Amino acid sequence: MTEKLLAVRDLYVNFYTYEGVVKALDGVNFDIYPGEIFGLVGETGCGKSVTSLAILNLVRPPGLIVKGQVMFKGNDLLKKSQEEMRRIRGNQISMIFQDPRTYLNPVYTIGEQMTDIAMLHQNVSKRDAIKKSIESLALVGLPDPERVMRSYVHQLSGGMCQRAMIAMKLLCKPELLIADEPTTAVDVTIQAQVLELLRELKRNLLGSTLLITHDLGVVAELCDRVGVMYAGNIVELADVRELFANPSHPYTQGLMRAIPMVNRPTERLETIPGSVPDLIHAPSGCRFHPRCFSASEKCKAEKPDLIEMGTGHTVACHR
Amino acid sequence: MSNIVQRLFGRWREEHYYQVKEFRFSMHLVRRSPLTIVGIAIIIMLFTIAIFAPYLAPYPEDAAETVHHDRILLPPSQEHIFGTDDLGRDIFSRVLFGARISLLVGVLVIVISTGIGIPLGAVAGLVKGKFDDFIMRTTDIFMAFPPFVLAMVVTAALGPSITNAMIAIAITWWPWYTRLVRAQTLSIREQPYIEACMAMGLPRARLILRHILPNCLGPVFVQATLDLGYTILTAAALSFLGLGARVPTPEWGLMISLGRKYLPDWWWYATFPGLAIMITVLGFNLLGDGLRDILDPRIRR
Amino acid sequence: MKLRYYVGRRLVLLVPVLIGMSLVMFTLTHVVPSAPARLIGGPHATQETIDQINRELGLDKPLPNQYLIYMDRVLHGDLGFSIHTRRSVAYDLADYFPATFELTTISMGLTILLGIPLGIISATKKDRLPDHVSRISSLVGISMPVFWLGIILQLVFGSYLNLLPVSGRLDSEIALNYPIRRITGFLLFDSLVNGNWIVFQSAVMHIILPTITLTFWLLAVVARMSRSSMLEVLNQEYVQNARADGFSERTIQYKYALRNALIPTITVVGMTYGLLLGGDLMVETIFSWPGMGLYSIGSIVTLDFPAIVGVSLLVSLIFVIVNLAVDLLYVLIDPRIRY
Repeated sequence: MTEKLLAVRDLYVNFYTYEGVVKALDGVNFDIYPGEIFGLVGETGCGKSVTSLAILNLVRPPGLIVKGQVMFKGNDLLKKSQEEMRRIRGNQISMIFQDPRTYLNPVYTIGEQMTDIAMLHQNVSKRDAIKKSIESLALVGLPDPERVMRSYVHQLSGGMCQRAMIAMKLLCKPELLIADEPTTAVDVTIQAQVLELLRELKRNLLGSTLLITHDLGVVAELCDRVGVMYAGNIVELADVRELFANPSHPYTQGLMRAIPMVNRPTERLETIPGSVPDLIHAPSGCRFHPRCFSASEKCKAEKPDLIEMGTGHTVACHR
Repeated sequence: MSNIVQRLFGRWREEHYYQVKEFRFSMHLVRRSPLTIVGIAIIIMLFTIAIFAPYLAPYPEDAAETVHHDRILLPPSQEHIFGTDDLGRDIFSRVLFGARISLLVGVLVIVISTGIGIPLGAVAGLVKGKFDDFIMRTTDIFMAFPPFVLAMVVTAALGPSITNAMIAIAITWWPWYTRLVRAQTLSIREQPYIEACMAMGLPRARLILRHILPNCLGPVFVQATLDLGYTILTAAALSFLGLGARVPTPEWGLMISLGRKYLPDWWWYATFPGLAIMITVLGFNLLGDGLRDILDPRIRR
Repeated sequence: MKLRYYVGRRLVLLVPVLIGMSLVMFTLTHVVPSAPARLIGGPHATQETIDQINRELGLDKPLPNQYLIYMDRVLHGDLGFSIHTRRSVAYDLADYFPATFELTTISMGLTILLGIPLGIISATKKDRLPDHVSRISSLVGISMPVFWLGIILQLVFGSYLNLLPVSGRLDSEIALNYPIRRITGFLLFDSLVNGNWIVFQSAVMHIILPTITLTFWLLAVVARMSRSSMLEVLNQEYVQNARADGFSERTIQYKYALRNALIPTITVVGMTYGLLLGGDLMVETIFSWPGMGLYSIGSIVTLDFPAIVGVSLLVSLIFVIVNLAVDLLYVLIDPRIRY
């Protein structure tokens, strides 16, 4: 088996609020291998974004990483100093955010922001930084990169901003790119472009991508392997085809059933009964048991571990 | 009997569950901010003093036109905590009575300014069109004047008196509220629920009263609290210049102005009223700041 | 090219605003019960004398005519004759303005240099000791009546410690014995240019207390403003993004956050400057500083209408111009605004 690029083990993250302790991540486990696109799917609030922040050790108060390991190429990132982490952030691990217009600085040009990153991590002169930036912008398919370099965020369209952000984050050729819902804030046509871009990049750059989304369609299109998250836990992990063919966890099954299919006549859209649990007073044992149609007493009592079911397909369920 | 009350109360609590929760959260935030508590304490103390001045002041008669030739310009002592002024009046008592005047002025001015400003702003923001333009030009003109100059000129024109000072300050202040409420209204009216109300045919007046205004009021409230302080400051300044309260009113600004003549030997005359002003305004500022922090949606998660 | 268009438009819009203001001022001061003629004539003047004065001053004509005549004169540089100083209003203004300008500019300069960094540091070290100290002093600073602070300072430094002079811009003896050629009216500047060291020293000594008084309040306002705008910026998403890119906190604060935070702060600073250029009445009264503020009070208290209207016009004009300058500065700093 090839060396894992990223291994997240037993990650627990809490948020300490007025109303109580929000146990956002309750023991997250997954791996990412080099050269693949790993999808992290789940509803809003299940902890996907928190996971990505935790990987970069960017969890800020009132949040706290209470336990766990994030092994990147064999080193635990959570044990590193802030100084060391800064060398990794933006450099070996980069993160793209949801809405490029609010996540890019409005008073500096794209070019300024890009050259800053290049000069920070790569020790190059300004002129070289500019050259690299223009190359990167061309790589993401932006026509007239020089003009984009001189532009400000508000002068570019949403799609262009998203591409520019991707270009910015790829400048240092990171080995892991974390994409936090890159398609959510843009409309459908742009979505398609961004997805195409990500696919291209995967082919050309040999890095891995952690794609966070709530859209199973995106997952189906792009990902190699998938992890399904629910209420702070990974409940199922599999190759993408395997997942769609044999969804094993009741939650995954519910999600699949809820997708309206064009070729299957349905009268009502199926939903998963109940709603996302309050993470301060999370259900005991398996967090999904109140909504599970095949829950047993054991499910209420004990939290299930990820059990191997087939090649690379693990499920956290007592059945 | 109490059973019924409890049941009613419980039901009200149930129906307004979220409001109660929010309120309790606000109280929690207040408790966590010692400065806000200090502000509230100061203001409570102030209002108490203002209301009960005749009972709290050791020499209540000194608040008016009295003369005590034997007690002129005495330094602070046990009988006269703040000393006496040039007419033998107890300064401490006068300062206490001054609280009445200042608070009255502050409250009245704010009530008038908001009374004019808020409705105008809400209507202007909702209706837009010509009316809105007209209001905007008017506020532009009023706001183009440096506030103090306008207040001064109006007071001078009308003749120096506390009432005129109040009118002058109110004239200076109302445009700010209009602008504030208008801006809020403009953003609120874009919300879908307002559209829904209009589609349902809700009459405009009701729309404003029940839907728009309550959502505007947060920043307005904060501003009004802070402005209470500034109004008192401005009124004192006007009186200091001789354009506001007149002798023998125990207005703080006026007292400072009179006391100036007796510096530096009889320093207590001018010093204590100033201290009173400072503490008062500080109280309102603390409260206003605290309110602003509490009402800030980002802190409330 | 678009910028010039914008500037031009704003200047043109200035005119109706100015006219509106002058109208308001004029009306306020002329529909007032106190009759200026009676003031000039004195309490024993006969009705005839009063009528004559009224005719001379043109006060017997209907109000709109008076206004037009006045505006006509203004446009020719004649602002009328001040009743209480017995000089032309225009001359008075030219005389009093430099004092205000000197005081205001120096105070503002100090404030910007000290206040903005203070606020920023307060924001970056939020809820730690420097922040608490700064916040409380700022609160006290804005709550304190400016005129009271001036008095206290006079008491302490002037009378008790006898260190600094408490009134005027110069010692009268020095002014008499070491006259300087007036170039700009800014004493500090003129005396240096003249090489007149004694006058310079005296001017500096005299300006210290008023400056401290004014700056105390200004610092509080500016520090608070810059703190709150910095805090708001630090909560923005692009700051989080910068962290994910691996920039150090310091770089983020001083490079990425700062420029965004400065924008609203500068607006406030500019507006306040414009306001103060009209003369801070409190400070000038306390320290007998012969500036616009003192002149304004003198005119208002004596109901000197030409002077009042003249001062108001000038003050409002300055205010409006400074606001325009701030708006333009805004356009320069914030790339989002392009007209």
